[in-house]
Formats: sequence, structure tokens, C-alpha cells
Amino acid sequence: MEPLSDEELIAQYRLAPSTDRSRQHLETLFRRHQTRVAAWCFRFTGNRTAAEDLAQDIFAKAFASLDAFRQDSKFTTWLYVIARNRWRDELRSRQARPREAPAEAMEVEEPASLNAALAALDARDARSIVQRLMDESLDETEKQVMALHYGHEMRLDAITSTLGLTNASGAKAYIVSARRKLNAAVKRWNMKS
Amino acid sequence: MEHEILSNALQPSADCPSLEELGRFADGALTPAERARRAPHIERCHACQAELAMLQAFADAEIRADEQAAVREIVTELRRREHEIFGAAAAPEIRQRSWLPLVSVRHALSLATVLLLMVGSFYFLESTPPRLPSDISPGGEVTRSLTVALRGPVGDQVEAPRRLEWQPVAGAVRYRARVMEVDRRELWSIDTGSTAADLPPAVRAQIVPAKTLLWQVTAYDASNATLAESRLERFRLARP
Repeated sequence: MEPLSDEELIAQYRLAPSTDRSRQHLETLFRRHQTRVAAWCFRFTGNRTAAEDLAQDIFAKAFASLDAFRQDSKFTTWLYVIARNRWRDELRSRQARPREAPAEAMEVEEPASLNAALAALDARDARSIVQRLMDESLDETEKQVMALHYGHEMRLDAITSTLGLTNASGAKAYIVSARRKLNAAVKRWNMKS
Repeated sequence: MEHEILSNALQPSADCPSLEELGRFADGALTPAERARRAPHIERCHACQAELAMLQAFADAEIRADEQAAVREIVTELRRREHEIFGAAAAPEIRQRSWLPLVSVRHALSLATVLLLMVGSFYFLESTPPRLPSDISPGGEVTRSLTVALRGPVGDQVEAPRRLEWQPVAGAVRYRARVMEVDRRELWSIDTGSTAADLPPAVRAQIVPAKTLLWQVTAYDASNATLAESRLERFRLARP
């Protein structure tokens, strides 16, 4: 007999939430997704102990909120939204502590010329210009790496795992290449305008 | 300075859909109107595309060799903390129970049954012909969602559907469409390079009034690997 889907397990759980049978449904859900959540937390935190606490919070939040699961998306997607929101809270909390602000961007050396070129954009609509120049000059992987790192504050080795990059230096190589191309594109744009 | 400019340029903006909405987009669960409104932004937004990449990685759950030892240890620790995790699930239940002494279980069940019958009757009487997306354009846009978005049939039908239709998936060279009984026993399946499949007469003959059937589509790439899968969709022929 085919195992129950996640959504079917939740439907069964809701029929009688206080029974041993329903507890088994929760345990099945937990075991089905524990590796997924553990891996995701490890990637984002880069630290086993922090990942354990984050994963526990995510599951506790998910199981306490099962009534809010409306079955209008997959359970995996719903669980992802909980994980992302929990991680955003964690980031905000870390950023409120100055000494723990993310510093990994410093791993990639910033060419002075790019700083100067981008600074010239500061007073204009930098967001739309940077996005347009990225579209014009970067390949799809470079764009994703840049957006994950700068837009979503994701660590470089986490990006390497998330995108399944197999080159020797992973996401870092894409960041370096993307910034070199972007630097040239910004300079061209500054000369034209 | 540079980090700040790039962060500002690449962070999600007020135009970006919420995480929940983006998740439903990825699952192919937005209504056609919502999808038409959201798709143009999502397709060109770097932040949204990055979020979809993260969601896909979460769904795929592929673990690199250098992550496996740590992940095993985290899982072991999570199992040790199960009672704390499941303790959270019990909390809302206590709140739900608080009104029960006011109404006996038997009366509550009777009331629920009546309400369900009323709602079900209303739904059935008010049900309309299937609402298929209005933006069907065979061979048109290619969706980048993580699932195959099904076009139809969906929901109650005024006549036995003649074909299954779904959105193309980028990189897919083959699709497998399956029609199933509600217990997921397969009635019929077909492999096709197209984004539609005609139902043969033998299958259409099994579509009788009030009988719900399920269907699902899986997309494969050139190496025969699964690219995306649709949600399990339901349809049935309405009573005459």
C-alpha cells in the first residue's frame, strides 16, 4: 500500500489530534522531513549547534501551527516558508548585535574601481540600474549567486551547496567573476551617461 | 559602500510577492488571475528567482558528501529532542478543547454533519463549468516553476473531458500524464513531448457522474531525470 502523502497525514492528524495514531502521523512527518530541515539549517548557519536549535524551532513552530496549514500549497513548501521566516528572525537578531554582523562579504576583495563606479550610481536609481546591468552582463548562475549573497545574505558555501555548484571554489568564483563583469558594465554605463 | 549598494539592489522589494505567495507560485497553486498578475515580476526579479532556487534546494534535499556527517549528527540530536518538538503540537489542542464541555461530542458531530451537508449541497448546486485559465496559448510561455502547472480539467465538469492540458516546463523533453482513481490506482497513462494529451474513449467511458478522478503530470529532462511534478489534481463529471 502506498504511504500517505504529507497532506493526507495532516488530514488524518486533524481528525483526532489527541490520539496515539495521530501522534504517529506527526512522527512520520517529522522523520520524513528531518534530514531536509537539518541540512538546510546547517547550510544557513554553518554551525552544527546553531543548526540543531534552529531546526528544533522550525519543527516546533510547524507542529504548533498545523491548524494554519490550509493545503493550498505542498507541506514541503509550507515548511520552507516557516524555515525562511525563522531564519529571517535570526538574521535580524544577529544584525542587532554589531559584533556578529555578517562579515563574509569581506572574504571577496573589493576592487576600488568598482566601489567608485558604484558610488557614482548612489544618487540615482541604483537598484534598477544595477539590476539592468546584471541582466546585460551576467549569466544566470552569476545572477543567482549575487542575489543569494547580497540580496538574501547567504553564506558563500551555503550558496555552493544550494545551487549544486561543482567548480573548485564554488560560489566565490562566481562572485569574483560577476563583480568583474559588473564593474566593467558600470564603467561603460557611467561613460555613456 | 559597494556591499550596501548591491544589497539594496538585490533585496526583495515591496513589489515582490510574499513567501507564501511565491511558494504557491512554485507549487502551481495560484489561481490563473493571481498567476497572470505575479508571473511577469517573478520571471524577471533576481530576488524572487533566488528565493525560488532556495525553495527548490529545500525540496530536493540533496546533501553534499561534506555535509553528511554534520547532518547525521543534527538529526540524531533532533530525535533526542522529539518530546520538546511534539510538545508544541499539543498546545493549540488544549485551546480547542476548552469549548467542548459546553456541547456533547455527539451533538457536535451531528451539527458538523448538518453543516457539511449544507455547505456541500450549496457548493454542488452552485458549481459551474470548469474554470480553465483564460490565458491558454499552446506553445506559448515556458513556466520556470518547480512544479508542472496543470491547466485542466479541474473541478466539476459539465461533460467528460476530452484532453488533459498543462503548462510547459523549461528543459522538459517528455511528460508523463497519469489518470488515477481516488485510491491512486492508475487508470491510464501516456508519455508525450506535448503539453496536452487526448483521453482515449476507454478512459472517457470511466468518467461517470459524481465519480472523482485524479490526474498528475511529471516532466523529465533529456537524461530522463525528473524535472518537476504537478500537484495531484481532481476532476469529476457533475450530475446531469
